Amino acid sequence: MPTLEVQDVSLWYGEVIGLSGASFTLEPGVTGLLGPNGAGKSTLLKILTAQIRPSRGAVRILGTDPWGNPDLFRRVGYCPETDSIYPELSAPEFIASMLRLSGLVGVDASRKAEEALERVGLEPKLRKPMAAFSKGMRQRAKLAQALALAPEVLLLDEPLNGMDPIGRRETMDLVVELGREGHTVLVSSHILHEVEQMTPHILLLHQGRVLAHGEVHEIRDLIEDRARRVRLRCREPHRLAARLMELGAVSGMRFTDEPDVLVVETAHADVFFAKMTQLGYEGSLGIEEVQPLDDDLQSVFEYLVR
Amino acid sequence: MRVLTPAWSGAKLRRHDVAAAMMLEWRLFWRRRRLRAPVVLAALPVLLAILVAMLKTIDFGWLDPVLPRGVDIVPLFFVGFVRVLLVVLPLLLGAGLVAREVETGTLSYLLVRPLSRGSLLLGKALGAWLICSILLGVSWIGAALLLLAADGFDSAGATLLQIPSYLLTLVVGAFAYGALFTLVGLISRRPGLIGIFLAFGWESAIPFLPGLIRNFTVRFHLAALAPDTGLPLVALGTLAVPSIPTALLWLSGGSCLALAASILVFAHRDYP
Repeated sequence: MPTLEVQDVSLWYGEVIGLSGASFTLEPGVTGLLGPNGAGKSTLLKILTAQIRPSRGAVRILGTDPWGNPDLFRRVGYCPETDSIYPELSAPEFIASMLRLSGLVGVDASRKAEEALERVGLEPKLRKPMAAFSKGMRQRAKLAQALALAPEVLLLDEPLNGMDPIGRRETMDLVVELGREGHTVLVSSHILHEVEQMTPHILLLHQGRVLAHGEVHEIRDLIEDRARRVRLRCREPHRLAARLMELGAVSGMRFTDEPDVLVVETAHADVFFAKMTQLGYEGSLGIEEVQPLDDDLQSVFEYLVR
Repeated sequence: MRVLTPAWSGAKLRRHDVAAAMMLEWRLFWRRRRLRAPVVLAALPVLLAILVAMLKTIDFGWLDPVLPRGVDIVPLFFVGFVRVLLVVLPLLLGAGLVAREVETGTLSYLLVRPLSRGSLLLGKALGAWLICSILLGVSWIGAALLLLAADGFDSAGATLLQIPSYLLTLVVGAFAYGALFTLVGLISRRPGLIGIFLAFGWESAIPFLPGLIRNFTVRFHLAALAPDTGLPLVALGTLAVPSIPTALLWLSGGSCLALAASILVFAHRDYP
């Protein structure tokens, strides 16, 4: 059973579309919620966390509609995008206060707060008010409050914003680890390579619509109307180019500055790769490397969005 | 398909949740940034009382005492207190209860907790009421003691006996105004402006009108709770007073109604 279901969800702000007919399901693991600014990522997360009601459609998290069912939030954690904190509180106080609102009392709340801070790499007994925190530290504190109850579902809105490279790396590792532990993590970002490092599973939003959902390479395979580029390294690139033309497996090719590299374009990837296997068995061309150039998220994103 | 939820969903109240939200409001208030304006306001009557005490006691030599000793001005001071501070403090704390969280972006953290929006709002409102009552009480007792001290505690006996009535008036008034301004803060885009109109327009003029309409003011009922100090009622802002049970019934009923309406509004509002 999916942990998170979104069925035909739309939201209009007057005449402006915030989200349009979004439908998808998520299961445990990390999913990257991708899209340019204004794509509807934060709107979707706010609907999932019952801060906004959809104009149409239904949402279920762990089988329950989040709107009007606050008990669900014992099992759901949320890290908002805005750089908002209680500047007067220290990080342990902030998280313990949020845990008290979640039903924990006294020492339990303090202990869990310290554990959560430790997990995100913040000093658990840090007493200085968060007003004195760097943006990266605030992000970690925000993340800690989302993690503190060890929720089954985690909704993270741009959690890497404002972090330094080390912080980003550590947070990305943490997200991956959470996914491995069996949490359902939906993490939004508009920075593709960050998402790519956390998960191959993406949900791509653009102008309020779900453009794609699934593994990056699966999505790429489905994009049939765009030629795919493949980088080939071999001992005799010119002979290889001639053979490929003979076989009619490519629609274009070019030689690069590297003498043993050939980049080809093919509209029929499955046929092309079958021919390459055949050429590889022939052995005389010395094919050393076959590397698809646009199976990455950036390419998929560009194909779908532009 | 529109997701429909019952009207009362999100308004369910649980004692522990209300207490937790109340504690949060309390904890946040006593941190420096939120403390300044209400504490400065609450300190003003004490400063004014110090000034009055000085005018009563200090012999300037070249000038007779401006305020003669032996004249008990505590009741008069209380009238000013009710007309200004008792309204302004709840306005400051009540109207911003949710607006402050929206403005700072921290409401998101509160809405994704396993407590109903009703419990959250009620807890915050009760926290604000507690803070308001303490500020008003401390300010009033401090000012009254200073004024009594300036007279050498000549009229202290009668005034001290009336202190419970004074405090009851302040605490009940803070609750009623707090509930009213919480609702105003939720339904209006300009709660400050409407609050000022209610506080210094409606509350100043309507209690003088005959008929039922004056029952829809807080001050008309507070006049019934305030100690009888021999001051004309007009000083308290009304020409007549209801009985104490009637006043308590109106004030508690009106306050509960305002809080219930606030909870319903808050429970069903989107916070994009």
